[in-house]
Amino acid sequence: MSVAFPAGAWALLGLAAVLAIHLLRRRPRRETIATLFLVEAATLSSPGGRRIERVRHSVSLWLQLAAAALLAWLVMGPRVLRDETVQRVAIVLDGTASMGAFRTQAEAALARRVARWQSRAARTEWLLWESGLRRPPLYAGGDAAALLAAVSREWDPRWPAHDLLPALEQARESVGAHGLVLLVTDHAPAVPLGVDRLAVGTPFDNVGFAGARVDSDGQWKALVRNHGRGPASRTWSTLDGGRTVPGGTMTLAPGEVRALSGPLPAGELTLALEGDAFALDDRLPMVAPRPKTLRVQVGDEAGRLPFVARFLSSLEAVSRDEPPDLAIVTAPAGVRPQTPCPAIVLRTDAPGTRLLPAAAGGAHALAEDLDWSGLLVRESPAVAPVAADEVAVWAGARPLIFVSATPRGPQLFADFPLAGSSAERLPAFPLLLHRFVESVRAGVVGREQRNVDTGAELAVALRGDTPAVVEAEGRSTQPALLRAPLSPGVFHVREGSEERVLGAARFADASEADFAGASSLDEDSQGDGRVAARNRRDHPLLPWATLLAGVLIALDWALLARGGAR
Amino acid sequence: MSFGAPEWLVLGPFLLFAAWRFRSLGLWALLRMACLLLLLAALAEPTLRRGGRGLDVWLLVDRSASARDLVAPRRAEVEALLERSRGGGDALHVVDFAEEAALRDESRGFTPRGTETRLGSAIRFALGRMPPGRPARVLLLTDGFSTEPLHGLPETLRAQGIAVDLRRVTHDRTRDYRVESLGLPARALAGEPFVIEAVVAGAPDGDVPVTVFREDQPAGRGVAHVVNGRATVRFTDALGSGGAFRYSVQLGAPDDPVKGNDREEAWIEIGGGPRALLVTSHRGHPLEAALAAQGFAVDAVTEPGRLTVGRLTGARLLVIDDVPAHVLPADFLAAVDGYVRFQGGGFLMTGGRQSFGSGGYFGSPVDSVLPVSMELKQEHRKLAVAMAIVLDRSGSMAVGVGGGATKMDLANAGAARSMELLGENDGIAVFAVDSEAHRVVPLASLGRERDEVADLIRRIQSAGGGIFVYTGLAAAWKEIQKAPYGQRHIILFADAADAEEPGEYQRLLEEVTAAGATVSVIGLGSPTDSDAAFLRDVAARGKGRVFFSVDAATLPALFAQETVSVARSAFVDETTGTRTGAGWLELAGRTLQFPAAVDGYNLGYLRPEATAALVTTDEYAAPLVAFWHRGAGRAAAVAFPLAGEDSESVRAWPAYGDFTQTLGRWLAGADVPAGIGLRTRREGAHLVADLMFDASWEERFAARPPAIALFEGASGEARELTWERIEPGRYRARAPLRPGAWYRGAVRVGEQVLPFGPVGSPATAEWAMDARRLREVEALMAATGGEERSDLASIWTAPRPNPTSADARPFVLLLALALFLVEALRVRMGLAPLRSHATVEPEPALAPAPAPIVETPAVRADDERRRRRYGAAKRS
Repeated sequence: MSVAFPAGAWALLGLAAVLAIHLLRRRPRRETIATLFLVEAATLSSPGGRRIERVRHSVSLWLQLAAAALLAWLVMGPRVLRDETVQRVAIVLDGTASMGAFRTQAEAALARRVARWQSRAARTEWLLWESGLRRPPLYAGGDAAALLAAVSREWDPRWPAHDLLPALEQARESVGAHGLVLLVTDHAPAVPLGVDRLAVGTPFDNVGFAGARVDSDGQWKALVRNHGRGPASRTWSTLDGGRTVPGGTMTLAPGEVRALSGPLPAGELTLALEGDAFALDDRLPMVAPRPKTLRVQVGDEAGRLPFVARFLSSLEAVSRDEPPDLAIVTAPAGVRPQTPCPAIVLRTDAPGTRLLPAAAGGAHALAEDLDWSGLLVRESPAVAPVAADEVAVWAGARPLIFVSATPRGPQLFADFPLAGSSAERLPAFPLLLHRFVESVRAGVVGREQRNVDTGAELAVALRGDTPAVVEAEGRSTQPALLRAPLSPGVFHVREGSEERVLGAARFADASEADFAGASSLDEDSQGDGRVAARNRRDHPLLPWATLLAGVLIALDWALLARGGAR
Repeated sequence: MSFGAPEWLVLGPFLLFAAWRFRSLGLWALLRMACLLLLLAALAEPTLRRGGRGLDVWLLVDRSASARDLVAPRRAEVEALLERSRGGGDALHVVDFAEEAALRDESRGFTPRGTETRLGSAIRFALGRMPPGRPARVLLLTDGFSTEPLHGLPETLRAQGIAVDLRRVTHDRTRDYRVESLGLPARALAGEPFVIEAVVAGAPDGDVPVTVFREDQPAGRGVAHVVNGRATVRFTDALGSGGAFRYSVQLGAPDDPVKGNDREEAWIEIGGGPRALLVTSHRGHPLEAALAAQGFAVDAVTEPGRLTVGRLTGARLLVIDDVPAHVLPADFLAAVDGYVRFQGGGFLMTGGRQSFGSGGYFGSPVDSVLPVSMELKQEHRKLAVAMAIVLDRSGSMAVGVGGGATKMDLANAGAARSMELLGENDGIAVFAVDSEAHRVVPLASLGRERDEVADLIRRIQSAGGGIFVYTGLAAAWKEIQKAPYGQRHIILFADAADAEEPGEYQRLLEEVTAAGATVSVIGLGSPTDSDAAFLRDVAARGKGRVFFSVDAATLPALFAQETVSVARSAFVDETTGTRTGAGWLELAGRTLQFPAAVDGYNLGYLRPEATAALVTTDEYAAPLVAFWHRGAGRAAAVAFPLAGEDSESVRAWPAYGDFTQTLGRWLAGADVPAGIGLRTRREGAHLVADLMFDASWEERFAARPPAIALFEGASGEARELTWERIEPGRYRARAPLRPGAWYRGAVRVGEQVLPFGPVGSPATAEWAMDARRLREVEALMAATGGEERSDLASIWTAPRPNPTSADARPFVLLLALALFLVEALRVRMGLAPLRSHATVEPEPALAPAPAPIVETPAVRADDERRRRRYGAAKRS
């Protein structure tokens, strides 16, 4: 129950007024009578004496107190929840990694808030989101206990920094204009109007790994940063094949970044720092990166071109094995050759004499930021265009370089005679071919080794006959979208019995590891009773209580009239 | 007063019966009867109605570009129907709105300017004019596609008890062609050809004329042959100079019912080496050669009116040399602050009679960027000024501009600002002009009566009609013509689309200028408005300046600029000695032999955090060369002319080249180190920025992660975006783009800045027809208790919102409690009850004889017993 007019509580002073009235000595009432026979009795009473006397218990006193209390309660406007009232509350849990350090506090604060908000409507529909919107709602329903259980069970705050706004907008849209939106976080980000913040962070010092790389010569280099405001010492070690090798102790000044380095043994290596309150950046796994091997088939005529030989030598991890992943072929003017796989199609026919108009780059990813102003091409017959061709470079209205989709993969056409053009000397042309080759390599099914960030999406080409699984820390998951594990460690992506990726997931988001900006905040913009007022109605006993007050008053007067109020 | 549960009143007769039947209760006593009647009233749930019996309906008529043609045929019918069906006490108020809102009665037929649907602003405009307590509903006659969010409105409307109803008009989409996409490379090099590709979609199949525009100038024409609902047209272009350029394609299909989706635009950035943008009034400026020798591609602009914000893109250094503020496009001027503070650009203003305060830069958007301030100080004023301000108070000035203010309010604020900037010996006269000139403030020296004068100015209200320009100017000239002041100046403020009565203005202005007085014009509107040419001519003939602004909020700043230009003795045209300060060594490796004297300079004051490298030796010790860091960028002021008039001795200065090159190098800042790149692109209605970096940057980012800021338009506030780590060596940030807006931004990497933009959003807000906006209007309707109305007359009988009546129960009950307590006190004190006239007291059996008044205590049982014994004894 609540009250509509809390200020009506002042009416309780009526109780004090009743008591004060009864503290006054009762004064006789003046009466005019027609005879003197009562004079004797009248003389028994004295008009003098004290004006204040002890409060004497009497029926009248209790009736008056009861009536005053009842009237005060009525003045306050008692209200009860409407049976049909429903409020919709969307809670957005900050899923960024820094929240992991405040999980306990956040759950406790959220439980208190849920209890408070639950009392504002007969039924509350809860909707629980994790920021980042990478997962469907963690909970949707009317059970507060189940909601809190879902928070404990489902909330996984290990994601790198991301924008909270989309989740808040989604939440706002889900609950409508009357709904409540709460963001549970560890700092005080700017939020849209109508979103309350429940921040549970407190600043603390943290030291952790802030990045690493493995050079082509097999040397690793790792960065350790002291995010705190005071100097900090940490011991570090390496874990190599289950063996822990002490690395040493280092003392870092506030904000200092220290580099560690060493040779990478075959396989994998994990660096470990002495633990602190934020554990995600205390382990740093690494593997030697190895791209997928691309099997390239070079046509006879293309193989004789010096440009093709130079281009092939600039590619990393290629082989001439069969079956090919990419073909480099030549074709006569105006012909679309059949190739067994994605292909680069060049032309070696003789050029005409007249120069085509200046080449111009189109809005195509392969041609982006490449300078085509030096590409001089002579007139020659062109391949008949197809609607699905994506043109990267034009000469007037004539496509010069375009990508054509075929059932066996994309074909990149350099639809002009190389001889007599400036393409070989122009940096943009091999760069464009490189981009195309890498896009083909990305689609090749093979094994590779990668160092990635925790939680990163993994673009892995799969055969698709069996579901891919991610194995990490002895556990295997079969996600709809392949991602690196959210905790640092070595992982494998397997498709059936074949390994597709040997990876090392490492946490390297320096912005999440810095807790200097953590803060606490407890906002409740609807705490002024507006929601309660909307969801409540008059107490059903209100009219009966009013009647009762009238009856009590009348009873008091009746007793007084009969002189039996004692 | 009304009752929510009147059935309880049926207890009234029972109460009266009880009072009659049980007289010993004393219910006929006034206090007791009143107390019980109040309780009875409380049972019946009394409510107090506020605001009278009638209902106000505020009809908001959408006159935006997308709804104008749809609404026009229905408007008169809707208004007539509402007028016919309203009852006694009801009232209909009509508000026309687009980007602005105007009450039909106040604006006298003025059509609000603009194309967008600012629905939220229009509702707030109506709310601001509703009488408090009066029951009201808002009826929207619109297509429902607001171009601004309606955040906060539901709460505001509910708090005021206003319901929003909707009468929707819908678009016919047959024969609608649209630009589905406009493809353009994000970047190209100067001179490099690039392809512009537009995809046109729609039905039926046929030919659709297409025009491509570069910065709103036609750059090519073609025809899209629509087959199976689609067609692609391509154009090729190449640009010779750096910067960002806006391309747009426009379809020309006749009878297209939805014109708004016939246009799409995109930006391309033309790159090259380091570029310096030199905006100057002097052709062949010596700075050009000096900066070119230093490796800058110098982009010299001598027609400042054609500058666009995009010209700042890729420029490492902006120099404004002896060009008055009013000839620079307002957008460009407003963009300079963000260019310096966020995008890390360098900004140099050099002296001359058209620079700094004399050039009207006081209070302009670049004022805060400069290391010198240009305020008026009493001792540096020119001869006393007599200034007459002619204010347009026509109907268009009643239009709301948000925040409850009208254009008139902002114009008044501008005039008051001018008054504040004038000195005690200056005089001001103010005229409010419609079809007559009303003298609001007669010409008088300001002295100590500023507050009174300001109060008079701020109380000017719009009165309808258009401004009679000649009448206003003639009255102003008459007022200051014979005034004993050294300078006489008239500021004419007028609506650029509603300035009437040129009269014999040419002759009048000849007379004015012949007498040494000047006339400047501040036009509210754009330079392309219907009367803009006339206003430009007034300023030209009046030998003054002309400003146009579509944003009324800028009026106070424009009045301030103009006043300072007139009243301040900013340019000292005497040969003045110089003194070298130590500051030069902060930006140069070695000292410089500065000229011993300059031929003239702009008087300014060094800002607290700025450094002066050279100051004058006169009594002002004014900074001649000053510089400072401003946000991520750097700014400098050279107060003396580097070219043209008053620059002879400086141009003969042997170290001229060394000085300008050193300053230019410092302002341009350091090159961004290799190994990092920023790519921005638009994905639907989102901006996507990718920051790619090699391993050499890991350590720097470990110590200080990169930061990205985005700001809307020329002068929008910067907002920080969040980077997501996509993979080692790659961050990504995303931000939603508001339709019709354009954005700039910057990525800060250590001490360096990677600027980007402008980036445009996919469509004009007005024609985006975002379904979310429609849902928002529907949600607003639902949240406030409104409904979609097909039967318009029913609005007059719609339920009154609750807040128009207040629950009276607490007050009634409180009164009952008070009466009850008073009655208890009365009984306790033994006072006689108050009787109502209806009370019938039993007459005493005998006529009352003078008898002693005795006080008897209340009847007690032992007294009764004693009385009985006494009676028995007497009888015996």
